[in-house]
Amino acid sequence: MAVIELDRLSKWYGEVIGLNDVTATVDSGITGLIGPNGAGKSTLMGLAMGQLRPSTGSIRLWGKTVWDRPAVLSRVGYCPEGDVFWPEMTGQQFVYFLARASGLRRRAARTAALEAIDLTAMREYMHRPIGTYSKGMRQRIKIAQALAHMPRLLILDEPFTGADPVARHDLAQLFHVLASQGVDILISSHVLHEVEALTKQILMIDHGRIVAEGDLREVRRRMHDRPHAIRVKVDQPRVLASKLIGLPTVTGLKMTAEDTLIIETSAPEKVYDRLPEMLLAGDLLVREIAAADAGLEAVFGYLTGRGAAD
Amino acid sequence: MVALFWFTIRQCLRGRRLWLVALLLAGPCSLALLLRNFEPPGGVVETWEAYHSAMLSLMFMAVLPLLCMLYGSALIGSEVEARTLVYLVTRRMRRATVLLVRFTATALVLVALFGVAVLAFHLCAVVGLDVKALNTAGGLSSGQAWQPWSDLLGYFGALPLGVVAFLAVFTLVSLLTSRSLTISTMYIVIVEIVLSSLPVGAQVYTITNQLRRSLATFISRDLLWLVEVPVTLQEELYPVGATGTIPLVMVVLAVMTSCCVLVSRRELAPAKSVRE
Repeated sequence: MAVIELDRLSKWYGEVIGLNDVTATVDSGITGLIGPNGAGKSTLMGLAMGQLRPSTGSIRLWGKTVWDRPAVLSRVGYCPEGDVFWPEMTGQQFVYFLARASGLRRRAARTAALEAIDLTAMREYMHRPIGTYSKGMRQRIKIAQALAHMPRLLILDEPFTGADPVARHDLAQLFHVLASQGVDILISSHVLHEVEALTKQILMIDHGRIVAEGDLREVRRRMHDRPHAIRVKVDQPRVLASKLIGLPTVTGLKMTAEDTLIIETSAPEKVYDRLPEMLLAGDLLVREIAAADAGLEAVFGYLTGRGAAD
Repeated sequence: MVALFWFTIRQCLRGRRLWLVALLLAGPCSLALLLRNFEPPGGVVETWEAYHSAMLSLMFMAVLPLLCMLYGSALIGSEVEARTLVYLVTRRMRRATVLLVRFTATALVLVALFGVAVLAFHLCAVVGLDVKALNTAGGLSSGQAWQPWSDLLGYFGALPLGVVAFLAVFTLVSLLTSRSLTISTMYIVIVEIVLSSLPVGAQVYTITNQLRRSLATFISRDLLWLVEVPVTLQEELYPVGATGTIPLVMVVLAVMTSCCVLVSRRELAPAKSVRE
């Protein structure tokens, strides 16, 4: 069963469209919800958390509607975007209170809060009021409260915002560990490489519409109208270029450095098939063969016609 | 629920709002002390009238609604504004439960705070007053002796009613509009101060009027005549034997039911935050 199902889901704010007739599913594991600011990511997350009501269509978690359904929502951990907390509370009080509000008894809530605080490396700061925390610490304590009641699904809205590189790495590791333990994660970001490092499963959104859904490589493979780019690092790129130019599926060749050739092709499989024999025939020394535009950034750019962090 | 209950009580008892409340509650006490210092002592009837007029019009018609407005508008509104409501409504509680738990906790805090204020006002007005001598010099119009401490118990009896009624109304206002403080202030002035003092039949639709009726049953029917009412309207506004308690309870039930329906149906999210 899909974890999250969106069925012809739309959300309007007066005349402004937040989400427009979206049908999609989110399966187990980590799914990256990506899109530029204003694309509709937070709207989708708000709908998934029962914070917003659909204008039309429906959203279901594990097959059940979410609006005012505590039994469903208590199995979800949510980390909202931005500074959403009670600033006078200490980190420990914040996580403990929300663990208690999730139905845990006092002792269990205390233990769960401490474990979640440890997971996010916040124990050293847990007795300080949240209002005195740095942005990165605030992010981590929000993630801790989302984890404390041991949810089956984590919905994380821009969780890396404000975190330093070490904290980002640690959080990414944490999400991998949680996913390996069976926790499903829907994570939004407009920083694509962060999502790409976490998962290949994506839900790409722009102007309130889903523009791509599923495995990133599969999404890229299906984009027939866009030539694929293959980067080859070789000692004599001109020799290789002369051999490739005769192939009907090669639509362009670019030398981007002294040892780097970018091959644009409509059928990358055929180029990959022919490359070994060409390299051998030319006695060429190859250092790297890689897809140059199969990354999330490139796919996002193709689909939305703009850079990722617009 | 227990965690949310204690959390709400702690929220009510801290922050800048509490200083504002302290000032609000200290005002009538200071006034009572000032008046006692500068006004020459009158007879028992004048003192009785001054005491109850101040308790009714200052404490129950002004301070109590203002206090309830401050807390009622923040009951859900402050969480909506801070966007922290999302933490509460995505836990193991229905939205209506969240509202009712917060309402109960806030009402208890207000009963305690206003109870202390009423007691303090009473002490400022009565301590040091030779009530026995006043009663000996001449009794009340009913022929009975004035018993201020017994009257205080009557005020304590009506106090929870007033708190829940006003708090419910202001909670409803905060759920209906984002300008709850403005609308609530207008409501206090127009309905609870002006309309409830006008000699017209519409008085019965004010909480103040119903509170007065309750106090009349708890303390003395003479309280009703502190407000100028034409003889022709007396029977309509204050029928003999009628109490305001039942209408107030009905109002609270109706208003809180509306609040629960609203909170269960409305998103209660600041629009800006969810539109990215």
